[in-house]
Amino acid sequence: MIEFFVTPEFLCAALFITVIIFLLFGFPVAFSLAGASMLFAYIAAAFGLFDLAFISALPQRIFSIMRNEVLVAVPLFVFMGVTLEKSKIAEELLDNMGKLFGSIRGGLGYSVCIVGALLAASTGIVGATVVTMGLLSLPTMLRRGYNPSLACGSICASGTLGQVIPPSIVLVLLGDQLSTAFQQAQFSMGNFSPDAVSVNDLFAGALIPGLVLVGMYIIYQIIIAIIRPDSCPAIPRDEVTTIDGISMLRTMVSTLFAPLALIVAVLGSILAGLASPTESAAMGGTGALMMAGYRVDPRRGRLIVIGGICLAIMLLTTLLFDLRMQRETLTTLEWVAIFVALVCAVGLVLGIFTAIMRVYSMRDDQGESILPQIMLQTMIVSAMVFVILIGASMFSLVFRGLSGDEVVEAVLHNLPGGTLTVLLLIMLVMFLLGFILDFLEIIFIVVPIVGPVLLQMEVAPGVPMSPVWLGVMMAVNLQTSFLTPPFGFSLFYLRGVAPSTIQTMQIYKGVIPFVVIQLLMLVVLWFFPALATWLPNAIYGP
Amino acid sequence: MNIDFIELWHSLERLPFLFSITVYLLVLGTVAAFFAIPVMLMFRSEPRQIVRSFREDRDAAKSMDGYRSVLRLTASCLTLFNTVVGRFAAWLVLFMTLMQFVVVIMRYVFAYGSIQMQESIWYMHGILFMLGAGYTLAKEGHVRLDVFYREAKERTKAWINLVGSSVFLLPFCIVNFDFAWSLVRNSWVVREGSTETVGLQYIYLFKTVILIFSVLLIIEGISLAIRSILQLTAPPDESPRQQVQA
Repeated sequence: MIEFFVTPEFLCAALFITVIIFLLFGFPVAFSLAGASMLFAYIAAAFGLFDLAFISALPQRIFSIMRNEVLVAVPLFVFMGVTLEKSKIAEELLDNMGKLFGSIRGGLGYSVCIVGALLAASTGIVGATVVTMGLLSLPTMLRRGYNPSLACGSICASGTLGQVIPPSIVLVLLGDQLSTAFQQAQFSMGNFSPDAVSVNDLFAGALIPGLVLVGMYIIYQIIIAIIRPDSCPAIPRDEVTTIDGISMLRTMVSTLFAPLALIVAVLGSILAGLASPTESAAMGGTGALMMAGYRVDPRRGRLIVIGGICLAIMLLTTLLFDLRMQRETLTTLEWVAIFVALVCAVGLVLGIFTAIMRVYSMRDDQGESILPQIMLQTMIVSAMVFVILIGASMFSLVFRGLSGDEVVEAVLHNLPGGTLTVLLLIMLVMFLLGFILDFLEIIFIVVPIVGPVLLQMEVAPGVPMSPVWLGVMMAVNLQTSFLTPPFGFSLFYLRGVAPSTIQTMQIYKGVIPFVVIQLLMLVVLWFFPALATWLPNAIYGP
Repeated sequence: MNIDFIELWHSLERLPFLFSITVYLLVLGTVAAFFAIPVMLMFRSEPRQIVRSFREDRDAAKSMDGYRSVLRLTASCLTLFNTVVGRFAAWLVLFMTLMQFVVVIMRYVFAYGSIQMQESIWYMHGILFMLGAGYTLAKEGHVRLDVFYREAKERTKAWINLVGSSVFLLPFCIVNFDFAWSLVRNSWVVREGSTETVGLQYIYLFKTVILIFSVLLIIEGISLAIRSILQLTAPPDESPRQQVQA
């Protein structure tokens, strides 16, 4: 009897189940995770089954989270997303996309997909996008006579797109965890100078699958618009163009172009290998701040526009001249270029000053300045993310202390059927966990445990598993899980903001085709891994 | 006008020292000015907001009688502490975005890198979420698995919060403080600095943040426990009040 209890297998399973049960009570995840695993460790230690030296490494783990360069990108991306959201730029984008596509049959649905893909990317929190679109687009779609199921389905699905489309927080965190796992896998295979897998790789890898998903969502809606035209009627043309063409075009350009340019610039600079995610997140955050500042009062926004132009000139001079100042000899032309760039820097700073002041002067409905609110919201989201990471570190220390990593490795290696079975099993577990846990906990708990084992396996004889491919598979899988009735998170969020005339069954029914699309995507990724691995290889080399 | 601009530039070229000083001052001045305005805005807006949120919280205590009112006021004061820390720490978001922006521009445009500036961004990042953790708890920012919690009665929620904070949160923070103590002490003893010789030499201060993190969470955990107890023991006639602001 005693022998049965003290096996590492049993202890690990007990730890896992205990933690999940305590999580379900609803005390904040970070502290339940940390507290429950710690208590488990102390009880196990009392019976001589656990060495407390394992958890004494926790502060060191916390410190390595604090000075992790990759994770700095998280608050910066959140800042960018929250700025776009609080300054109502996101709302305007959605509104204008609707106007642009509204006169086509099914057009509101397409605009939801596109905006979801663009915006969720920077917000990163699944709930936020679903809630925003549920509040803004759903009433419009219903008023225009869309089939409630179709409308709900497309909003839920589009709201989760942000997880797989870079630059998303999910991919930053997943990339960070995967790179550690990959390094461990390479070490245990005897390769002591492994190639690193970076967040950049994962961003590049996820781009094509993400765009394919958007494309498939839209194709599905086009098919529906053809076979069941009355489920998604077009807005009559005369209602759309109440204002004349030219001014319509001008609002379109100013409201659509700026956010699009921002997101494309951020993504482009990462993918082109010009900037690290952290650097381009800071550029994106500052850009969002300037856009928000301009939006507060476009008529007095001259300084901000000048700031933007100065930035452009600076980048242009960088391309044309060598601006390094710490050199022995510089030609006269280079001095002039440096001078121009410096003047532009001053102009840029003035533009950013103005933007900060404008955003500070912008008030919300309660009459409070939105600048502190943006920062508080950013801080709350990043504290939430990183404290969960701290809790998960505690869990993984205890798990390791119970020699859980060896147990997992043994179990996975002894499964019949090789890599496919193992991968299917892990994907299934992650999928099911997705019903009760948020993506953060899954990434922080599951990836460190199974990642090193998985990444030592071969997909085909002689072909090692690509970490980028694995990351993309995991991201799409989790996204599917958040969509799947009856427990998907995204459905709960939409239920929370949908009008009461909509039945829950209608939401479920509408989302099922999208779940099928997701599963199809996973199958396609299994058979054509190049979909995920081609772009990173093409950009950064194999 | 027969000023030869080219000649002027050549004369400047002969004064590289003067030029580099000017450039240095300009860069330094720009960076300093860059952060001056946010600092000004911070001190203008935050005290008012903090006082306001404390007043709202304190008013809830007034409707109670005797020891309950004292307990409630204690909880409010504990939360006030975290509000002050959190609201000021939140401005680091703006500072770190701007600092990273400056670093990017300096590196890509002027090919000028500063390890100290780069490291200051990591410091700000670490301090941001460690000091913000307590405030996040006060504002209900830490995610809950709300499959059951969402549907639960207020009393059940109060029980969960009371048990959770006393069984999970407080022991975890105390143990973490205990383990971190030796790490931080060792760091102070050697005045641990950056691994880069030209980096910021304040790792020992940075590590101390782990202790502060634990203390802030202990404070907020006690506040949460007190509020839960008050809710559980509330006499039926006491008006239901805001438990924790959403």
